[in-house]
Amino acid sequence: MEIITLAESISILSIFKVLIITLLVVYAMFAVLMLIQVGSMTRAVNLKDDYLMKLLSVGHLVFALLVLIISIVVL
Amino acid sequence: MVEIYRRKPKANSKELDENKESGKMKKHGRVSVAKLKTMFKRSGYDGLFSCYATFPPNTYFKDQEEGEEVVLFLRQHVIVMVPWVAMVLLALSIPSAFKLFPPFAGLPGGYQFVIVIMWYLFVFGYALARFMGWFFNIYILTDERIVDIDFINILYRKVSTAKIEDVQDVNVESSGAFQTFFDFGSIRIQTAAEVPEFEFVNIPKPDKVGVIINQMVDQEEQEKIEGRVK
Repeated sequence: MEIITLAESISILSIFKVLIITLLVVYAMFAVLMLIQVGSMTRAVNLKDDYLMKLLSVGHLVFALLVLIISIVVL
Repeated sequence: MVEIYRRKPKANSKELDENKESGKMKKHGRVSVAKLKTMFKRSGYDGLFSCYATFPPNTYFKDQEEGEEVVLFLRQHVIVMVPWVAMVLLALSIPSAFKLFPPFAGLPGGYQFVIVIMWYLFVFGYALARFMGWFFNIYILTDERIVDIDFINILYRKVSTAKIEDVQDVNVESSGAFQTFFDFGSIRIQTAAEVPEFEFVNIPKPDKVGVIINQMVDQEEQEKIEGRVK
C-alpha cells in the first residue's frame, strides 16, 4: 500500500515539476519580450535615465532564467 | 470643476494673403523657441521619476525634426503609482505565510524553495510591467506639435501627434479632494487633426499646462499673422 501511495505521489510531483518548468519557460519568453519592448521604447523616446529601465529589464530576464535553471536542477 | 479654454478666432485668409504679397513671409530659424523660453522659464527636473519639466535638456523623440525643441515633458503624477506599489509590498510579505497552507507545507523542501522564488519573480515582473506603463506613458509638447505616447501594455503602444496650430479646444479637469490636494488632473485637447482628441491623464499642474498650451496656440497664430514660417 505504501509503495502504491509513493508511486502515486511521485507521479503527481513529476507532473507538478513539468508544469513549473513549462510555466517558467513561458515566463522567460515574456521577459525577453519585455526586454525587446523596453529597447523599442528607449529608441522611440530618448530620456536621461532610460538606461535604468534597460538595466531593470535585463535584470528581470536574468532572474527569470536563473529561476528556470534552479527549478530544473533542484526539482 | 471643468475649465474650458477657447481659442481666439483664426486669422482670416485675407490677412495671410496680404502678408505673402508684401513679402513678409520669410523663413526664420525657430524664433518661436526663443520666444517660448522667455514665456516659460525652465522648471522641473528630468530624472527617473520626473513627471513635469519645461525644456528638459536630455529628452528627444524619434520623429523630432531638426531644431524642434521639447517645451513640456509630462507623465502621470507619481501618486498614481501608490496603489500598485502598496500591492507589491504586500505581495512581497506573503511568502512568509505560505507554510500556513497545508498543500504547501506538505511539499518537499526543494519545491517550497522554487515556489517562493517563483512568487518573487512574478511580483518583480508585475512591478516592472506597471512601472514601464508609467515610465513610457509620456506626453510631449514641442514648439510645433503635441505628441502622446501611450504605452498600454507590454504588447501594445500607440504614438499620436498633432500640430499646435490644429488645436481647437483645451479642457482642464481636476476633481475630488485627492486631485486638488496633490494638484493633478486631466486635460482634453480637441484638434482638427486625424486624431480628434488627445487626453493627458492624471498629469501634475493641469491648470498651468492648460495655460501653456493656450499660450503656444496663440503664439502659433501670431506667427502666422506676422508671416513667419519655420
